Amino acid sequence: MAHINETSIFISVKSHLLELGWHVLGGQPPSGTDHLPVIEIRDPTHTGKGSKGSYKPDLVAWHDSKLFVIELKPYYDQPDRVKVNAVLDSPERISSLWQSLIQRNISLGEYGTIKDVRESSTLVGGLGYGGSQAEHPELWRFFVKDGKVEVTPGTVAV
Amino acid sequence: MSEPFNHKIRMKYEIWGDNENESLWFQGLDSRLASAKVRNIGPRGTNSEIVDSLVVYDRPDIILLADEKPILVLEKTAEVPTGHNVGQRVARLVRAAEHEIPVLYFLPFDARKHGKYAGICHINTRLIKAMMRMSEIHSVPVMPIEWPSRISDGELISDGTQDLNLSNIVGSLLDSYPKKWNAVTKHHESWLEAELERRNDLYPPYKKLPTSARIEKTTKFLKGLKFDVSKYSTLHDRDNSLIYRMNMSPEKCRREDPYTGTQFIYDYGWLRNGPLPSDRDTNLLIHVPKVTLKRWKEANPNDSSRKSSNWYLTADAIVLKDGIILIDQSS
Repeated sequence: MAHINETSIFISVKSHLLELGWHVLGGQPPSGTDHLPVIEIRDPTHTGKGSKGSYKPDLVAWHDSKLFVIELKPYYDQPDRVKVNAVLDSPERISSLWQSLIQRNISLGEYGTIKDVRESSTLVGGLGYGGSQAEHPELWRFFVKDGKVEVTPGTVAV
Repeated sequence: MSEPFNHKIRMKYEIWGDNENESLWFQGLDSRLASAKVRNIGPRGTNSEIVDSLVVYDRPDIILLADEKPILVLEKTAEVPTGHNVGQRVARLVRAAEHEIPVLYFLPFDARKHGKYAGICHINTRLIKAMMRMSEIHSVPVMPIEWPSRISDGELISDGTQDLNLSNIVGSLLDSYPKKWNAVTKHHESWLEAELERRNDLYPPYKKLPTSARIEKTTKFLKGLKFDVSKYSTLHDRDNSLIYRMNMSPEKCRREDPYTGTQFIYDYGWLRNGPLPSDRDTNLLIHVPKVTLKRWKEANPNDSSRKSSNWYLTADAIVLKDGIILIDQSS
């Protein structure tokens, strides 16, 4: 079995989404630099200077009228589940996420720009990991095994 | 088929990277690297001897070996070098240049910063100037390569075309190896010269040292210190000193970035006239007026196993609140 670390999960999930023809819009590799823009979701309770409390998802993607916020770890991670659900539960954070993407005027090819799909899209959350599969029905699962990714849809879309 | 071409066909490439994601990206820049072995740079002492030697100051993102010899060092960032970002990665570039290995630094020259204070940031050209002097002094390409951004809104381009120029330069270095200068690197050097001039005309303050660094008479500076300086007479060997002042507090003085890299920018950009730190006519002094000798040595020892040893790489002395640490740069 291939060695599982966060970088290998990042590479596997990102490559898989691109192979599926999804638009990978942003994200942050566990270390180093990727070509993806880093998307910041601001903490609605923090009104001061700087980015205190802000959250930078590991991957942000768009496909089939869904905007995905995905957290990645080598193994299932409960705090990541809480983190993603906190975004789905917060209209302010959802608005901040869309703002951050629209500010970058990101292109979706034949679908226009991210701004054009804002009204017709819903937000969903996902977790990508290896090891053993866990139950988190509300979130999409991107399960990595031997470099291959198995995708299971989640139930919540906002 | 000519002999040099056969030689390249047989070449075995190894990509040593700081992380796999960047190594795979680098591997995609040239088809000859497709079969390269990808390896992670580990802690010092766990890599090949030459890789260990190249990470002594700091770890670059990519070290490319051909038949076990280093032929390229590459650094990559999505951040525009302004403010404190400018010097942060410079020590690792210097190390490669000292080994006469070509260095490419892939970074945005102009890009939008996001958040509350969004706006377009532009590269601090002191970095370009210093890198061009490194090229000249070590006779090897040390080149910033622009990660392009959209003219309309300053967003970084990330559709694959952003790598084309870099890919061309990497390819030219593989083509011309062991020659480091070729038509492509020469062309890029000329472009950089013109770009430096153009940008300096747009923002002239970058032509000069910033307010935190100034050149003055060594005697005058030493006279102004509030402790006995008689035992530091060797500093008088040079009439002038570049004083790089930092206002770190004793509590927060245990740090390296970006200062230890920035000292190289001032050294190469304004002082250095040869490959060794001793090759200059003006002292390079780091001035930390709020921190005592005792506190400094405790926080930033010259211990080769710690990054704090980078403080001692090129300056002639660290001038503290109550004394001076002289650094012998003659060897």
